[in-house]
Amino acid sequence: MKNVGESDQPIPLPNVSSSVLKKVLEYCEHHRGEPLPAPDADTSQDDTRKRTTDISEWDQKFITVDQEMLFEIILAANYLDIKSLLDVGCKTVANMIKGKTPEEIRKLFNIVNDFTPEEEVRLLALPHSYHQLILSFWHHQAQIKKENEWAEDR
Amino acid sequence: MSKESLLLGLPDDVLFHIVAHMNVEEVISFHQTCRVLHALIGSTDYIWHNILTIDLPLNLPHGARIHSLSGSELRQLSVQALRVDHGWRKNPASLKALNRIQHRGIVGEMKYLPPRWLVTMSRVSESLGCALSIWDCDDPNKAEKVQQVSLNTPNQPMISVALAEDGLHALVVMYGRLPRPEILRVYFIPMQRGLPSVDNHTYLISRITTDEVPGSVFDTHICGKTISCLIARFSNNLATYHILFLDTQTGKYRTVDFDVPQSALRVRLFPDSFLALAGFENNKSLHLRLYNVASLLQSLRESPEIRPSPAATSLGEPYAEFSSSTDPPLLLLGRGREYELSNNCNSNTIAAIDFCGGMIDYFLRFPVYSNEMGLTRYQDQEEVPTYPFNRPRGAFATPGVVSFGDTGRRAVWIERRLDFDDAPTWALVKGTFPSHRSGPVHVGLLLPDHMALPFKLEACLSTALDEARGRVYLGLYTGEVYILDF
Repeated sequence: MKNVGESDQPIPLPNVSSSVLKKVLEYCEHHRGEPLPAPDADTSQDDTRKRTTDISEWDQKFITVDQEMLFEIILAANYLDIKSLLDVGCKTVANMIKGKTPEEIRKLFNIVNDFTPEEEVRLLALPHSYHQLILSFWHHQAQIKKENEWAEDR
Repeated sequence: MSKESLLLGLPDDVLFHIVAHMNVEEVISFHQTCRVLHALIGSTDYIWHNILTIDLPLNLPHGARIHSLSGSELRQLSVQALRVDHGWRKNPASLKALNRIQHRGIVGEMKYLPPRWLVTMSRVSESLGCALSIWDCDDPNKAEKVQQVSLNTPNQPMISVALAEDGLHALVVMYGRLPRPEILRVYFIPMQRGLPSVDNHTYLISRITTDEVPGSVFDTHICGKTISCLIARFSNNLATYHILFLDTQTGKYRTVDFDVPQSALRVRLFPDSFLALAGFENNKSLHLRLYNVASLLQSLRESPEIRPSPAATSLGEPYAEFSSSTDPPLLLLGRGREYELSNNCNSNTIAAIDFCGGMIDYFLRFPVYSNEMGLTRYQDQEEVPTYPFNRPRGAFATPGVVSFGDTGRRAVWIERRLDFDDAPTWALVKGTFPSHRSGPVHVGLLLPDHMALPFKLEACLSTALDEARGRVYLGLYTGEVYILDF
């Protein structure tokens, strides 16, 4: 935001509503004076980079909003390039998904399931029962035996 | 709230940002919700390369690294790994397929070589001797023998195997129960599907006899082109131990002495020239010593002679030492203490199961990772991550024929339980263990009780585990190998 602050020109914010902007300003006000994250902090692919999904207490309280507001904040943070706020928002969404099935995720985010039933079956392979398995094993063995006998007869 | 999904209205880069905070399982669930996300996530390499770690054993092609694979390949491997994990963790695990190889002979030992090879050692008959066979088990329904080496020995030797760097040959070391004066044989065997298995080829590249190196071989481990062996010499009921290093390319070897107060010793060699020596110390803790043998191996390679003169005859001081902090176990009557080590020299840890012979057993992970400077990263760490567990058949059951998976994340073994007034019962047991990060240990039955199997578990003499596919091989004395997919 440094180079933006140096300009006298007003910043156009066509995508950001006033209530969202108020939230964003509240966030920036609280975190003022904190060191900026190193620009290449998230590009290193080292194991040492921890993907923490934990959010500080203040941020957690701050981001406890309805879904509409949450996504608006994320969009605003992305548009205004406020990385730490974007992180908080995205972590929150990722946390909402944690441990949920595809169906639960759809419900949560109003996503319409547009797969055909055949496609769905392919997505989830169903295991057989033990009984079926053993039966098919014996069936297969009997067939091999028959083929062998047939080959020997020749 | 509007009917439209606000989430799907986000720009792609923001969606990527959200996905970056998920683990593999969540990414895949997210990916399966609708066509838009299916297309976006399924085909983006960036996402799959940036999932921090896929903390599951992946069925990678030989020599492949995660970043050399495309996003969709990684996604498929992850889905497969998650499915295996899901089935494997169920109690009992869910069996997905059952197949049989008509092997012949007594299948006494098996080793699985990722990504697809099963190496077996079997005893055909008194007069015909033993056979080493290599099977292509990519499709377990059509497992095919690609090589066989007949051995003119009445007893089955023990084997260590590794895939050669070219991925086309197997390096096989035989030791123990070889006809004297031989103590060690090394084979370099080509594996090609479709080739008729030629029996009269020997593929023998090295052989060591007691005239050259007196003693008996107790353990061997292959790392790249170098083989490390643990040799014991007995005189007046006292054993002295030696390590033999053999360069398979030149056939050069040398032995070094060492003196450690350990019993039940095993060796493991790592590509950065670290030799790990494991054993029980005072029958209390499981102890692991790491030695830097870089200069030793260097001098072996550079020496003009087949058997270089022993300039430095000792292993020297250990580079690092780790000791399990388990309490001395209360040994049950007639039960010994045993342990099993994982085998993968490309891993940066050694997994171990310490079967204590008491009420509780332990899983441990010894760090052996070192960087280019030869410094062990875990040098300062004092405690080895140790996880206690109980076996499903209880303390009075004896575990045997243990097989570790390639990364030591999974293991299988067979437990025999003697009940006082009943016939003994057998159970196939699975262990699921944490990676170098901490996590839970699950030990339980792999098959449900009283399941009508086409074979008897008591006929099983050997096991092998393809950890990434969740596939268990059982070698029987009836000359069959059963392949169970979980």
